[in-house]
Amino acid sequence: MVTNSRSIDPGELLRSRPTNTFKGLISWLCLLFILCAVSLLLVFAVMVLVSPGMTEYATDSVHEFAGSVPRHLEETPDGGYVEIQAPELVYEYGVKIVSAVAVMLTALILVFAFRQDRRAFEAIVARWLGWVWMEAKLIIIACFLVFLLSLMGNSSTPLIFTAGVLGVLLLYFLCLDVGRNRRFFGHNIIHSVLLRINDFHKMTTFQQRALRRAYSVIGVCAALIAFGLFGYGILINLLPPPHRDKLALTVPFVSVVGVIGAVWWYILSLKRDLRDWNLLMDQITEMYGGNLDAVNHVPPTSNLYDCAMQLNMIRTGVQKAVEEGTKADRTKIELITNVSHDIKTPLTSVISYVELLKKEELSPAAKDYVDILSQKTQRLSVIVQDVFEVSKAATGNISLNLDDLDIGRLLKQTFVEMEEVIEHSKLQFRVDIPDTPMLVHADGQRLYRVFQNLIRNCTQYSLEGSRVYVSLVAQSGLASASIRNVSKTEITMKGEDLTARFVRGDQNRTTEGSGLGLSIAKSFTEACGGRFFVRTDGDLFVATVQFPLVGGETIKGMA
Amino acid sequence: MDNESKNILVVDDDREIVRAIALTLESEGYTVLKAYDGMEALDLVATKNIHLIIIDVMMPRLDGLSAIMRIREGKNLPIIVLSAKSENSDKILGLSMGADDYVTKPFNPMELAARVKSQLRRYTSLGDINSQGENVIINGRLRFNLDEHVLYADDEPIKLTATETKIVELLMRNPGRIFPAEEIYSKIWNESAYSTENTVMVHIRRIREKIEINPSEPEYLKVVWGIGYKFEKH
Repeated sequence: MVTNSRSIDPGELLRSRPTNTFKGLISWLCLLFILCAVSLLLVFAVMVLVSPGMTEYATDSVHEFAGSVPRHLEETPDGGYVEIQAPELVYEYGVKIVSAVAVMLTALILVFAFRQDRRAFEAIVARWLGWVWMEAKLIIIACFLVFLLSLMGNSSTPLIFTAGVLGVLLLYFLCLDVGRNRRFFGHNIIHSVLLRINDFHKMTTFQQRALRRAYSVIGVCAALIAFGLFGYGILINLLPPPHRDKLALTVPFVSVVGVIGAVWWYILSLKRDLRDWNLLMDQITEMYGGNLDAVNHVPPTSNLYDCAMQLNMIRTGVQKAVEEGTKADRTKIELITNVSHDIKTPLTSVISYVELLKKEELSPAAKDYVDILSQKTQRLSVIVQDVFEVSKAATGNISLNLDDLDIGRLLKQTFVEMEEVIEHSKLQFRVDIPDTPMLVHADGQRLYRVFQNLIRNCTQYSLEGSRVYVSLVAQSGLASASIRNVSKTEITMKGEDLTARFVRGDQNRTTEGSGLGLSIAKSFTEACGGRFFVRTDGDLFVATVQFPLVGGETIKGMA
Repeated sequence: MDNESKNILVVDDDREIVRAIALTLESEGYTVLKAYDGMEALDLVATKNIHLIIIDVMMPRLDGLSAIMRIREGKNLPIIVLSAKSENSDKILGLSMGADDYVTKPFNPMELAARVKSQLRRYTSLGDINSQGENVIINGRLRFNLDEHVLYADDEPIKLTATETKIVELLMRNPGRIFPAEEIYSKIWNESAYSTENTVMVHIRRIREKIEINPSEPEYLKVVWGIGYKFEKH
């Protein structure tokens, strides 16, 4: 309990307290009363300053107003008047002053006591004021100014006081309105008309809405111009001669202001639309670039809100699908990794006992069987390792040792390493590697595995006795190595399908190999930042590995 | 052979693997002790005179790496780690825990036997090599005698051709340095190289087949892909 009460900020309590409209009204009326009283006093003070003679008249009228108290004035030597100080007078004035002061104090206390409620009430008043068209407000102000002008010749005191009080009240309401309502000039008849014309968001297409807005602005402008011309024409004929021209000109002036306002409104709303378009386009660009976290914040009042929200929903959907896809892929690969781990232990036993069997005295047939077992366990061992590597590469869990290296030299080294395999294959390798070094940024060990897999692939799937062409060329900032061979069997798949995991050119899967060679080559090349693609043309099979050259071009003359 | 006197402790929770390793090693003449988890291994290490340990990483009760750390607190004997994990980081972790060698499953028992032999040689004969005061370069299980121009692996002379010997000497004198093929060629043949890289490459592959336990995963004479060759420091 104690901790609870301590945690509440007293200021917050005051602010969050529910406001009472009645108290607010009382407080507000008191404020108005004080404003009136202060303005009366000010007007009085100004009048006294302007002409001291007024004092007499003013006191007189005040007296009249306060209950016709007889005047007790005496002429002083210096020509002024001094009030005679009589006890009864003091008493009479004293009561009035005291009661006036009391009333003022009460009002002040009420104003301050309920200031929270008053502010809330002022907000309500301001909201009401906000609903009033700007034109109506201008007319009221104009009327007041006309009233003030009419006072110029006529100095009737009650009217002056009325003018003073009205002026202060008007000023108060104006301040309230301007202070609280941000759209003082925005809310006008023309704007309301334009909004009403364009309020068909749900029913029309964006194009129709945009066109309607343009046409409505043109229409309103035309109407305003016509109104200005006609009004001028009519007024110039109807008005009495003095100031006729000037008064008549107000109408076209108003219509010009209206036209400017309407065009301004059109430009602003066009700007808003374009801004929202930009937001949407930016989001699309971001999403296209792979950032699925990009969300647009188009305001609900926008013409494009529906479209923006739908785009946001599409984004959410895509993001979810991608996340689920990655999750599924990861689970699959985790499974493969675990399984390959679990296979390795029994496989170790199998390999060990096959080795032990080889040493035993066996019949020739049994020896033959053991040799087959040995070969197949060796192959199984390779497959398990390949599965493991490919799953690692696919999850991006592979550690790379990137370095600048000469891809041509790497290819030559690979051929030397694989000499035995190549000699056994009875294929003819036509290797064309230029002597100029081609530096690429890659992991040498992985890149060796890429070429190793590609060459092994050739030796397994090429037509016997055919030629394999290996070439390395540098063109437009890329080093591209390609290996071309003629397939033993008909290739029925598309190039990109061949690089998928566990896919093999021969559908009956009788040959050696794990079906992971091309997949590993592709994963490793891409992990190192290169491109890998496979193309087939009839029985011709072409695998290409591309890497951007370091420095953008071939470095010549390296020792 | 003096293998009879060598006690080897084989630790794995898979009894068949232990048995297979034991059979292979016994056929080579070693005495094999068996344990099936880390705690048993520690007990045996404490009570028996053991010369080498082959231990699996993933085991119940006490895993291999923790067992190695406990053994290393008191004993300095060669340890070969077996693991189904083939990541480089796993290897580095195993070696930094105090293992001397790392063999990934599935392995060939003959290769394991070769590694056992190599580890035991290094462990027992390092002392007398230094005392002989010969002019030699020692790198792991390899020893190059500069006077005789003979390379020994696990104290057994390796038959190398004259060119191969020159290459080995050049590389072993500069362990860790990467030599492009042309540089090796120009230093050995004293001629400048014109697309003769292949000659050097072929020589190096042959040397590797002679000196490495598993030539497809060389430990000493390594290819620096796309750059050249180097002799790893051990």
